[in-house]
Amino acid sequence: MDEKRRILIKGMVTGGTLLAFGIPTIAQAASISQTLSGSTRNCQLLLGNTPIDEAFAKGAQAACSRYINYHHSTLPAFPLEDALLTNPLRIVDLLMQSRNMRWIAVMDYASAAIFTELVRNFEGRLLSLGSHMSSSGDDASFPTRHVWTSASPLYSSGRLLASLLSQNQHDFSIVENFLEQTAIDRAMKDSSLAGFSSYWLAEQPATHLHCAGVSPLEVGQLIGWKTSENWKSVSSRSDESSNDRDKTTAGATIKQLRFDNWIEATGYAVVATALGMETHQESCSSRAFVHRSSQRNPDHRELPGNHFVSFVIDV
Amino acid sequence: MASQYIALPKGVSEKNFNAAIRDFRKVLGDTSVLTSAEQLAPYIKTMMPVPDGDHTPSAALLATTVEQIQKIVAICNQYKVPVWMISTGKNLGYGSAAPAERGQVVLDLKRMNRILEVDKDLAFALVEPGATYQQLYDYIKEHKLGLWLSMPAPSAIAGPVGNTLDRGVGYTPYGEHFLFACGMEVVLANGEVLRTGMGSMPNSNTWQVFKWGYGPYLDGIFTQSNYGIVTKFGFWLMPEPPAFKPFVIQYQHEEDIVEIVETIRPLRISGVIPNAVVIAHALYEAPVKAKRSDYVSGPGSIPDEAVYRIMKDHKLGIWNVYAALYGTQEQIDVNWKIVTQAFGESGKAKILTEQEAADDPAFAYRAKLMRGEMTLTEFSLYNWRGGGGSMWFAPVSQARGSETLKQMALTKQIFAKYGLDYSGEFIVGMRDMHHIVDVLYDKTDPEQTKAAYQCFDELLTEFSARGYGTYRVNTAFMDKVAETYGPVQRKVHKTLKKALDPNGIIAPGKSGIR
Repeated sequence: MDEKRRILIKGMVTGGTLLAFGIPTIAQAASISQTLSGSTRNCQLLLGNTPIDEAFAKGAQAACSRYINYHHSTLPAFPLEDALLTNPLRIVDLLMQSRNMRWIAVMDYASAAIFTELVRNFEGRLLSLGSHMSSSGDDASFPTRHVWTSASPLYSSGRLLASLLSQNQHDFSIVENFLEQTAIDRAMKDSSLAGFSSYWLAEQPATHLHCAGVSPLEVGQLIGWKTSENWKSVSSRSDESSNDRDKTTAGATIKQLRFDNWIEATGYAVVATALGMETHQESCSSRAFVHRSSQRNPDHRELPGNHFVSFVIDV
Repeated sequence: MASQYIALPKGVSEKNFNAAIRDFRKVLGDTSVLTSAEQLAPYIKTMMPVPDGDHTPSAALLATTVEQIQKIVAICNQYKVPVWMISTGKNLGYGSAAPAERGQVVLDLKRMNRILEVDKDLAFALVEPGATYQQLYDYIKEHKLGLWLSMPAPSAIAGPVGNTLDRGVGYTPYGEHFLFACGMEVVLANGEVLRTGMGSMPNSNTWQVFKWGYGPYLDGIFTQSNYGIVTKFGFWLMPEPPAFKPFVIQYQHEEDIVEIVETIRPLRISGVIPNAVVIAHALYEAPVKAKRSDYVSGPGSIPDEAVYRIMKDHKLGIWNVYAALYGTQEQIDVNWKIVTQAFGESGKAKILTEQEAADDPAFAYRAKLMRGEMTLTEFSLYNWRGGGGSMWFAPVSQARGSETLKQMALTKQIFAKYGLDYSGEFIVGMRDMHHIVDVLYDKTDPEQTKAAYQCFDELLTEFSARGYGTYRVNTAFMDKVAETYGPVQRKVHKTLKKALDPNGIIAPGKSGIR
């Protein structure tokens, strides 16, 4: 038998494909995080042909336009004309052509299951993976829920999204899990939000909680954490003192931002973070923002029944 | 001081792990030893209702040769570092690419993706673990070999080695994949390389044509196990038939499942229908055409009234029987007469041919799977609820209608208790049935996640109490399922493990074996 008879040429979705072409993917991907700050030339938006594409893209472009160092006015967007289920080769081609690229991708759960596999096979760097859900029924703890797994707090969009959603009187939960605790020289209270009370867990100091309209005792059950009475309070901030902190690096106060719906706000937060605009990160392994409003915004559209997955990857 | 790793193997100090990583890098090079959070994140996501942190790897190794794997196991033995092997890592709904236990090092074999041999005359293939079905499909087409593959629903992105080693199934007459496996190369924990069957004999050319070799047959102990690392794998391919006739038969009432199975069994055993027949419930097929939120909102299982609306709106039966005939046109004509007579007897069946169902996307993807073509359409299941939660519940039963009805009723009863929807299908094998149920839930909803865990646990408990064994399960429930097969089997598994892998470095926890 000839064991060297066939090295992959036509195969899709394997890291070996890139190797066959002599492309050291890991080495190239590494450079992007060094180069991205200060420029979005290598950043693109991938829209997965879902009903939320337009709203997410609108928020994404709003973030982009506020990025003062950005050389162009819009974030290049790549819409998939058909779903990954019917034409996975298109995304394979796209990833193979990507070099030093940060992709912000948004798609449904079926496509996301496939896309996650493609990212691994291309030896991409997954900076954050978000699961975003809005329920229409009364079964859910919160009508809008976001769960993120991020490589480190440096890639966390949670705080920024919480600040945007709370302005619009949304009820929401945002849970973030970080694979590593990047050391950040910042006290927890500096990362807290106006109107939120902040806590850390006595037995697990790297677990942080920011909540409004709900007590930390209730939160465990609502977001799937163990119920604990050992939440230690961090001194709350007053609304008046918050202005200086609720700013992005672009210098725009987030209080000026208004979005039609939570999907736009999510698009803004994900892209702003991917562009390096969110600077209020904190060193922790898990973090949650939970908000229960005392009043509902009558103009607010929660778009129930929508759900999608967001990715930020470097390839 | 914070660790430089996102996890550490159980019982291994950071100092020792540093040394192991240093040695892995000497063997593989720096870029093939992944330790950063960004690099490992794609290995972590699972669909199970447990924290992803329970299955976080400490590192991933990208090996390309057998010699490298031999050196890797030597390092693992030296530092007592466990590895978790994946071929393409597409065990979605069974644990994906994540290890069974936190801190295990993923040994990712995707770069070992060579197609070593495809023999047109004897209709077999020999491949490395990273080879995908898509690669093989393209190779066969390119070389006009006239052979068909059998693959599971993730088709293109999955591969034959991982699927067969986990005893997965496909939808052609070669769908019971391990039945068509023939010859493996295995790196043992002590670094020796074993070729099973005829592969152990120097100069033999029968490795991929005669399974048994001499003495005890060993291939089986390397499936669903952790006794070695399979680096080459042979299997048989199906010659392309001159004619192929897929069809679907729809039924309108759940209790019709008894008649369906009683009709199919003799046709399967006699070989009139040669492939594994799928009997899919309406809710298994609905996601191809609709979302749950189009019909219901709020807590609880989807009501029967909504299911009937879905059936009406999307032209589905409550049961949708997919099968095909293969052979010459003359053979198919004869067998089609037998099939239509058998199913037509009661007057309940609506039989649709390919011409009549061609526009139906559910039929289209089923037909593709039955002729070994690539399709990812079944992933639509994950859009039914959204939220990213999925576990396959896979009990086995006799191919009898009465058994089927009992299993379905019990499953639906347990699902209703936890407010989840029954998305199930029966796959009729030669004499058995795989009852495949996707436990779909919203992983962003803590209550539903908890319910899914409890539901799955109760399914295993109740089914095993009635003698229904589970043939395959996700990594969060492997110990529980192993327990249901009794203490003697567990002891034998453990004895084999101790003998072949005394340091327990190969995938501890796989199938509950440590």
